[in-house]
Amino acid sequence: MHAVKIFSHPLARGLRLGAGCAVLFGLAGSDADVRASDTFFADIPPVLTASRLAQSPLDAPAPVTVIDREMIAASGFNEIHDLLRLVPGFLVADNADSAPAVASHGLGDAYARRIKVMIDGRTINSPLWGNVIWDNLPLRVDDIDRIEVVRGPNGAAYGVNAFQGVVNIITRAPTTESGHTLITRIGRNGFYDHGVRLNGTGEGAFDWRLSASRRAETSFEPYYQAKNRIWHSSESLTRSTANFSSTLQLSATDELSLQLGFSEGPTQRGAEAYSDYPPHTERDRALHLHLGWQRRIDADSGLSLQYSQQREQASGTWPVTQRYQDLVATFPSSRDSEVRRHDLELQYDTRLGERLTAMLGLGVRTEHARSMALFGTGRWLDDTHGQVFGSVSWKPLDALTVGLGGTLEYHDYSGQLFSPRLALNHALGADAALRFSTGTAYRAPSLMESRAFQTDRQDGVIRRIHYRVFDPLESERMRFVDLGYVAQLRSLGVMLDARLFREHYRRFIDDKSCWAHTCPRPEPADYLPIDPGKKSFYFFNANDFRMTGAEFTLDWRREGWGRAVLSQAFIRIDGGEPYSDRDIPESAPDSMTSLLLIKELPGRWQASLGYYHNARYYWMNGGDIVPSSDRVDLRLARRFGAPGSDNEFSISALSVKGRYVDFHEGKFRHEPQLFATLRIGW
Amino acid sequence: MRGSVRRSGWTGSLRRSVFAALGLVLALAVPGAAAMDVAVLLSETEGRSREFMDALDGALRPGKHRLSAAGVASATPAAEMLARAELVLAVGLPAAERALRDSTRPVLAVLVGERDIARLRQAHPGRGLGAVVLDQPLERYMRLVRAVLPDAQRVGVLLGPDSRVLINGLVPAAGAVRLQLGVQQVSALSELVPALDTLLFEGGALLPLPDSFVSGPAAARTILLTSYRHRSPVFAHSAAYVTAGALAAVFSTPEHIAADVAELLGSATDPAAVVRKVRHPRRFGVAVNRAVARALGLVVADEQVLRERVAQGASE
Repeated sequence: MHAVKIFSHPLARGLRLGAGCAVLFGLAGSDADVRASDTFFADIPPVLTASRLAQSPLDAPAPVTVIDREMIAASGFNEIHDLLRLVPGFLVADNADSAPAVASHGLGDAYARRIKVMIDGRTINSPLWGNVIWDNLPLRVDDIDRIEVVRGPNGAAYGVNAFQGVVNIITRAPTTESGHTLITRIGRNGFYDHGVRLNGTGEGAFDWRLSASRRAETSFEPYYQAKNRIWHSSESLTRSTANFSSTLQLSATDELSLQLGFSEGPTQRGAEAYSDYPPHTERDRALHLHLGWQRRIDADSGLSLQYSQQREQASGTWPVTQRYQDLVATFPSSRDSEVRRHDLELQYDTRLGERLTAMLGLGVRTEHARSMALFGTGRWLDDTHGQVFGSVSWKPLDALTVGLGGTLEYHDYSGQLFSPRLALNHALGADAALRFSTGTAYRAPSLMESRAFQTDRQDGVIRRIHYRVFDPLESERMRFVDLGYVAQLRSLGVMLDARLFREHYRRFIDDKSCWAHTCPRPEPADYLPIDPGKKSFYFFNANDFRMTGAEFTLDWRREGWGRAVLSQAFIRIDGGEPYSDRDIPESAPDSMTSLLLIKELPGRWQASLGYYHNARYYWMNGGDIVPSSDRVDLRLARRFGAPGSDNEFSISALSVKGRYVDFHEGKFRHEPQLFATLRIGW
Repeated sequence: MRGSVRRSGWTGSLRRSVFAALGLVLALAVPGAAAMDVAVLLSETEGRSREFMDALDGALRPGKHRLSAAGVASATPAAEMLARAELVLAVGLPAAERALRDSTRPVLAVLVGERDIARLRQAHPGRGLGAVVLDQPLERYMRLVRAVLPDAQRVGVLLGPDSRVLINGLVPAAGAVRLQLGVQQVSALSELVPALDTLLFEGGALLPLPDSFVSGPAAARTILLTSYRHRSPVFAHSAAYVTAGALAAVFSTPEHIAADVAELLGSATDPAAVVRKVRHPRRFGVAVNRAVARALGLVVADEQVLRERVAQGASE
């Protein structure tokens, strides 16, 4: 909490600084004595530099999907992870026993951890598992400007763990927002989501945004599984979320940014029928700090230094009852844990010639975790990771761009790793391009995969072992080849993005179960189980296999009519027979589809429809079959107030067909949502 | 971004006095039958004044008029020269102000804004004051929008405290190239984002007209970032704005203005005719920020093609 105290009054401090700097550097707006001729010759510092501009998909060395504000609003989604349903090949699931999970093309489980997720460039994957606690992010859908998704590995640009994809959530820039906004959502089954967003400006030098919200939702009601005659677990959560974002223009070339995020709240989970997971309350808390300094050297060169800190706290204890022969015993189980991450990154980008640009970066990250329940020790566990990354983009011909990049990193648990990438983009006229890229990416084992010894303890003895590690694991490795075609046909209002890919996975990290006598090592002396037949799980490097797929997005827009965004993916996993886990090839659906239709209507009305289809597939480790299914979402909205204002009333129905199978066919039915939204700005 | 405008060919030392250039002009300018005595008063010895003089040196027809160096506005100008001249050529606003104060002769001001000249004319009623201003005719801005975006339907014009006087000319200018027009006026940074949201919520291009507030670095930053958030291209009036992130700009450099002045003087025999009106520049350049175009998914024609499109049918 030390860092938070340092910035205990960011608003007041920033306002004072802002006002001072505005005068000092002459950034304040109007000056009555300014000559009219100066308006034609005055220097204006570069604003829309390469780091601020979205890279054209025609030039990008990897396939990129952008979910923009229009799509975000029209989807009706009020949870950030749901927005990723609009990315071709992305799988999204929630379950009643843990946070939602997002995977790309398959290989997902309750702790899906093969996608790197960032907020404004800072990594937010949890240091524990490497997954993302999607239901406890310190920002809401209403704070997002757009989401940029790299569909595929990009370790060369983002380092280790940018394995199956990279999701960068770009929040609304304080400089481009104004006024105050009240947002309230109320729906069936006790759902509410009330929030406020405040924006302020200090005459150009200091801009800030403060968002705060509170929401409650029941995502799973108990589901009765007739086959086993059992009621499965439910999930209801309440969250308070706040985030503060500010930029301070120190001079024409220097900018400081500060972001603070907070999310906290209880979750009711469990089932009456579960002897090891009865109804109980868990609590999550997340705190994020992000400090950035950017220096724009000239239009083509810039330097940035970023520091971020992330803290997560999870708590929850419940009684576990076990029966073995005539013995009935109750002992506590806990998820109490505390993690911290510090991340420091320096990046320099420049132009080396008319046809050559380059980027070079350095980064250091430390991760710290403490959890008796997860690691069997009350000490802090530490993990350090350093990296050097760089890329060059060279245009030997007008129609050809060669991109070469790589990351060299050192990781406490995986040693030295090098992730290279080569990309060739060949322009087919001004509005289409072919892309070929190939390279290697790695995923280092997470803290849990490196150090787990998850136990239930009672009076100094171990009653049960859940996850554990016997032998050090090696990093997962993927070698990939990607062939893409992108076309932006503005005259037709069409954008087409298609690709074929093949990924070779090596040393895939999976877990498998063992009993007392089948485990690779003898059990510890203080292990005194009530039921000796209970399984524990240990991580291991499983077999190699291959993932092959094709996907496309067709985005069509016509002014005044609306927009249609269709995405389709076909996926197959093979080449790994015999599989260590039969769920591996089954974890990829043969095909999946998303369609977002947006129709502009007279009188400032807008209707939208979201359609999502997946073929049958599996969620691994804790999950199970999700059958072939179709989901339809509807939204009707009307804007009101002054033209250009954000005022809107809408009704959203998510999953109009009712409850749907999520994560595990036998256990979970996600609740549909029906809610009204009112957004008023002033 | 690579602008199409050729920068000055001047490569001499910065320390070299501008009077050397003037001397060359004077040496070449052997007076003819209808020659005028023109006193040249500068605002500065280097920078844009120097660029202008170097370009005028190359563009002026030899022997047409007698040009003499009257000095720099910040020093003590040659009073007898200003008194004797039939026309004072004032390069920059300080020079124009000084010429109006120290001389009774007609003044032709260059490298000045239209608003500056309007203010000077108000302050010196009855004086012969003409100008070739830096402001482009409104229709030229609209033609740039049309040239860059042939399918454009709307343009949102942002006016500030100085440029709001232009509001009456906007409708015919936009109508000439069949663009729907939206207009917002702002005078403080806190008004900028709401005004931009109103202008751009239906898409279209943004045109912030030259104004001491709207063209300032702080406002420009907000304008560029907010327009990019709306995915709307910004059209501007300076090369610096394009470097900062505007999609395209139309503007006149000192070289362009010098060529205009050479043409004006070349055909003039009467100083009163030269200063009779305030002229927009006939010559101009176009610059495009290719990185912004790429990021917005726009295919934009070559700068020379754009310049020709803008020039076609353009009125002064």
